[in-house]
Amino acid sequence: MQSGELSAQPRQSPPGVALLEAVALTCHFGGLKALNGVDLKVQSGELLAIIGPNGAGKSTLFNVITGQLRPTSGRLKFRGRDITGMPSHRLARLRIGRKYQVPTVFGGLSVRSNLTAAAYGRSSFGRLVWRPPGVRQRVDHLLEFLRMSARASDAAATLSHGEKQWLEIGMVLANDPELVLLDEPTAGMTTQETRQTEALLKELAAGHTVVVIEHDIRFVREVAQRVVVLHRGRVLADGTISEIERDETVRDVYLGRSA
Amino acid sequence: MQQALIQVLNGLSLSGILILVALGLWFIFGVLGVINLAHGELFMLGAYSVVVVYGLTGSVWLGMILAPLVIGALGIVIEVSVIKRLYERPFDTLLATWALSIIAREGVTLITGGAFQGVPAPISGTLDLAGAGYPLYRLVLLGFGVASLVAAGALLYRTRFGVRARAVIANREIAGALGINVQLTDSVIFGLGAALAGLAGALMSPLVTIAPSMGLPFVALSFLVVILGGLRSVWGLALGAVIMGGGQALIGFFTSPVIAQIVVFAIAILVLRFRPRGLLA
Amino acid sequence: MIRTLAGKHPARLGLALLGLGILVLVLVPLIASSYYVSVLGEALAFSMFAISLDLMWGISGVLSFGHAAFFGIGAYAFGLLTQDLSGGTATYIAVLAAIVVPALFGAGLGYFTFFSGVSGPYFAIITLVVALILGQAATSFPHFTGGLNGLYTAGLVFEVPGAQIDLSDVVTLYYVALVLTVLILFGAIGLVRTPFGQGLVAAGESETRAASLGYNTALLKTSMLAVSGAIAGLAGALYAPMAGFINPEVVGLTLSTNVIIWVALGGRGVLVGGVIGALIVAFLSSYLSGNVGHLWLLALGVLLLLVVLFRPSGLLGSRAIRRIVGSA
Repeated sequence: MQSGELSAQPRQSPPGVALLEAVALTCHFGGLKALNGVDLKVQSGELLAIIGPNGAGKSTLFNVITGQLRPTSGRLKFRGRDITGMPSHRLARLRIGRKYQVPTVFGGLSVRSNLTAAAYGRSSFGRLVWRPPGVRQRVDHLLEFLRMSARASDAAATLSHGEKQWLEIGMVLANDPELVLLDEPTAGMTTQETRQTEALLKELAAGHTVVVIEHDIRFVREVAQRVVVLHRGRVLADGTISEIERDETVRDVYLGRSA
Repeated sequence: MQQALIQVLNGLSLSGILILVALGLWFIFGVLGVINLAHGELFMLGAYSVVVVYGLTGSVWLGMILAPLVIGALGIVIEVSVIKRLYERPFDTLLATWALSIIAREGVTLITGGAFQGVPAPISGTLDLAGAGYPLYRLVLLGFGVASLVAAGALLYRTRFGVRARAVIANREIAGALGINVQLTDSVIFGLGAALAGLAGALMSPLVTIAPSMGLPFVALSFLVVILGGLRSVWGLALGAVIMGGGQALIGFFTSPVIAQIVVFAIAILVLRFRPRGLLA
Repeated sequence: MIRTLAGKHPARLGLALLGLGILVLVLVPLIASSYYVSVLGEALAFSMFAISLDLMWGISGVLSFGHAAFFGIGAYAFGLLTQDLSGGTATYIAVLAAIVVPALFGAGLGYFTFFSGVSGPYFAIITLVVALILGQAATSFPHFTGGLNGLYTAGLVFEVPGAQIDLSDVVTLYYVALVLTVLILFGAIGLVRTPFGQGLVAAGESETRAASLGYNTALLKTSMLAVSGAIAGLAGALYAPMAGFINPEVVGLTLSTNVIIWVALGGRGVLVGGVIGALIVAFLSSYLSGNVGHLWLLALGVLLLLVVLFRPSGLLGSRAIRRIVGSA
């Protein structure tokens, strides 16, 4: 099954304009500069991996893109439109989706309810009372895609860590975003689960633009077309995985030779 | 002019009391993360302690000294027996402290038969201000408010206990991992917050009718003070107390206490709308 | 235990029990004295009020300490508008006002709080302050509200084209209350199961997650507060003819406390829990010859403390039952 079938709405990408663009994005916390002038472009349809040592600002970058944090300065653009400082729910409605580092699902609700709630997230207010058709089928498809149909009625809190990660990916899919941000999707997973997540991600990438934060270099090599290295709130390097691996400055940073 | 001065001083002495009550709330919320809805009843019990001691010994001063000790001890008992069990459940803590406030109010009503009480001021006499006499006692209250702020600052920033308390406020888990006895800190802080409320009630006792429901308006106002002042700074608290206390007294003078309450509340809500993190955020 | 009893269809068992309960309530006036019917009628009005609180608390995760503000505004709106007339025409306007005014109040309150990011405990405190102030205001403006003596609301007739309901008859009022409460209960359960309701349940679990899925959580909560206010107001309007008079008690702290106890006791998040809680407490209080004195309040306070400490889900608030309603 192609994940393109999972989308309710087909993608549209205006040619020439980057899907997401960050211009000199800066974010201060008191004296700490979590982001220090990040310039980044994400093209429609690509699968980009963001790597970097701890504290480099990766999650902060995601937080800014999804509206949990306001940048201190700089601009963020989505399809050419300025989205700096927009609240989370409006960004979600522009079809920016995110999977959090710590699996964030609705623990008390059943797996099915989680996916259903995610599917309705971008409905207009009126639609929330008068249900639009087709959602149930989409949720059923997703359950199959995630191989979680057997667990549909179980409370999400009873899922294993890996299952929660998948559920959350499923919820992001159900929400049908155009840009998908995944924050360490394989964190805490077994090797087996990591393989399955790789497969999931490749399916996902077929119909969406994906940006992944990851530490697992093997995983990154498997799935990513392009890699960006963040260090101390700035972009250090940008290229394919082999270019990055050959880059001297990147090596220095990772091996601790330079400050 | 005279009237204006009197009203300003009234407002400030009310603010002094509010600071004491709000400080207690603030400590408890900052360290334990608990919103203590029984705080008004601790205030009320402080006032009743003075009544009891006065009835037994004839000394209001003694009552005012004993009240914070007794209420502080009561606070520790409450923390250990109720609050500690509800550590992970913030909403249930709210409900539990509220249940305690009901129990305290109704219990006192049953014990005292609902009769109103009063005690005389320990300092009689007036200070000559612009040709009129202003009760000395009220000025003492104002002094207490300021002194308690200073003492709180000193406790937090100049003592070892203060360092530990600030560590717990900053990050509970790490504080525990660093070897700070979070359980003990919790109990002490709750006791301290309760003692402050009890002291405020004791100090207030000569100025108002002492009744089981006397705590409610104060705690409502104090919560607004804490919310207005924001949770980060004691100065915000002081500013909030001055605005709310002063505002209430001033507006109440020109209109009526009820209208003053409504206006002050409306102001607080509006400020909250535009500055959700408090006045000094 | 519920699972074993219910087997594969817990929802059907729940429905059957509910039907049984309603049947019993229908039959009560035939066997009980009019005193008990009137006590039960008031309890039904309170049940409706409890449902309105549970929609905010158990479903949306927003606790309100001053919910009687809505009940009281509805009761006073109804009472004030029916003062000048002994006839019927304006009664339905009074009922409409009792629904609309608290709803607007809820919307306004929601706008000034939820949209500023004020939620959780702060919101609870603000509602407490609102209830306190309204209670004071109701007492302090007697020429408007009748002060402590209240407004007289007995002996009314409700008129709609083609029908007339005599609101001074205890049994009639009882059946009106029963019908309305059952309708509101089913309506509320239906509302919880819509994506609107589920969005609120989700936001109650994790507001960040809900927002990042596109839910405008402030708008959802404000809307639900308006709905809750409307239902509470209707309950207040229902209560007014039953009690015969409205005084500041209906808008203040005591009633706000009581409704929380009913919902906590009966089980929150299941909507019918508040109904059960209100009915139980009504029965108990009537056994104390209707004396709602300080000892009784003290006992309720102790009961609330015990429930919170040892059985926070109340009588019916277990996960299994909450699943049936859709709040888990």
